[in-house]
Amino acid sequence: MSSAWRVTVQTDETIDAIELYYAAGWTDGLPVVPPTRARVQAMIEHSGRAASDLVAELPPKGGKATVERIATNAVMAGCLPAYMPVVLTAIEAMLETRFNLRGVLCSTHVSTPLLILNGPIVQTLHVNSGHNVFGPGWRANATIGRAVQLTLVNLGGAQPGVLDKATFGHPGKYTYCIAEHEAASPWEPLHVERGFQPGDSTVTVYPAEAPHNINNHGSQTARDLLTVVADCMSILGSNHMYLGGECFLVFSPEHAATIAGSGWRKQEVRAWLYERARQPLRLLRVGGMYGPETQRNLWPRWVDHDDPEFLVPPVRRAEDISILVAGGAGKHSIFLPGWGSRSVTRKIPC
Amino acid sequence: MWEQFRRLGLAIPIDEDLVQYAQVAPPLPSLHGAVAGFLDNRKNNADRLLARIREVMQARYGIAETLWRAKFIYSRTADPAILEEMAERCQFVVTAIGD
Repeated sequence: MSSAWRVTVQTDETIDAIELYYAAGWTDGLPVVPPTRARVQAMIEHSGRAASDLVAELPPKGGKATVERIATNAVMAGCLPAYMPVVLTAIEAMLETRFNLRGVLCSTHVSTPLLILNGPIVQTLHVNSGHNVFGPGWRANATIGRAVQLTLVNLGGAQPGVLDKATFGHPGKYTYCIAEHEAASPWEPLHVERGFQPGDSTVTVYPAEAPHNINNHGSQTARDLLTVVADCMSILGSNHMYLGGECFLVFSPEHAATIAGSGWRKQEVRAWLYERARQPLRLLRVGGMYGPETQRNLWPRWVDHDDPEFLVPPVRRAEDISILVAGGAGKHSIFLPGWGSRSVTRKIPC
Repeated sequence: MWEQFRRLGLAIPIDEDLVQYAQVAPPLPSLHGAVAGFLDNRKNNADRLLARIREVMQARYGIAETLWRAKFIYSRTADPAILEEMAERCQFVVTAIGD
């Protein structure tokens, strides 16, 4: 343990400090680690950047997110200093226009930024990619995701119920961070598909709904297994059926093995799902987000608006279905519906 | 309150100066003769709601001129050119969502 992390306050004083942060409205409802100067300084040093470096003017309010202020939120979240480059890179990635952070943070919709880690950093930081990958029990997953969420609220000003107008929100707003289980995947990992080297460490940010389980214990072939997946992907209440954007599938290692066992690569999976995860126009017209905007500029141009039986896909292109492998043993996979905007992948400086 | 944190050697996780970045504009003394902007965010029925507000404001408050603009899509921020034009030409702007 480094001297920076030595406990320097009495227990009752620590609890008093935690209560101060509650009183100021700077927590997510859970206790925070009091950000002493020493703890914040240790976090800054691991960032490799100056404390005063401006990382972002974060929406919606435009708070100036310096390295020091983000480090403060990271300490409060319980991060180790080694996590700091991941937190900073994730925040920078979310600023790309294609992510539409302002919209994601303020929407009535349920999505929130999910972090997906790839590369050697997954092992270095002990990020969970296996059993219970979306659940609790791993410090890196829990606190990296939490640091990002605290930063967005405390520096961006996305206060729940004030500027964050989510009708429901979901538990990922406490923390939402996973890693790809690259060793268990029959395919190239997400970051390599996106042009990075296998030895690069990356973080992908994606505005995601809560994980939707796809239980399939029966299918023995890619075609049968993906028939079930396609049905989950084309639900009428999804933003995708009206807005497009990008969606994510997280296959368990067992499901991925079944699909790969049929000789299918990711591109076949995408192409097949794109053709079959569809809904007829007559059902889409019943409600959801159907309206003038859907017709004006959101669906592909080749959709025939006069044919009630015309089948509409959930995304504009097969490439907008992103695929990774994670999770433990079991014949389940996950569909991660999004908000309608797109993910961003960035290399983490290590 | 922030002094209390500093006294205890604790850091502050917010931008303390944020309040200076976004301040409410002073109220207009009168709407009579003003140029009013209406920014339609393109949510369903936002145009109908704004059109009705414009009608009422013209009838009741003697607005001189109106400028109507629409965003490309509701989920994105307005084109900066639209915002600049409205800031330059209008004394006040009304925006609304529909649904």
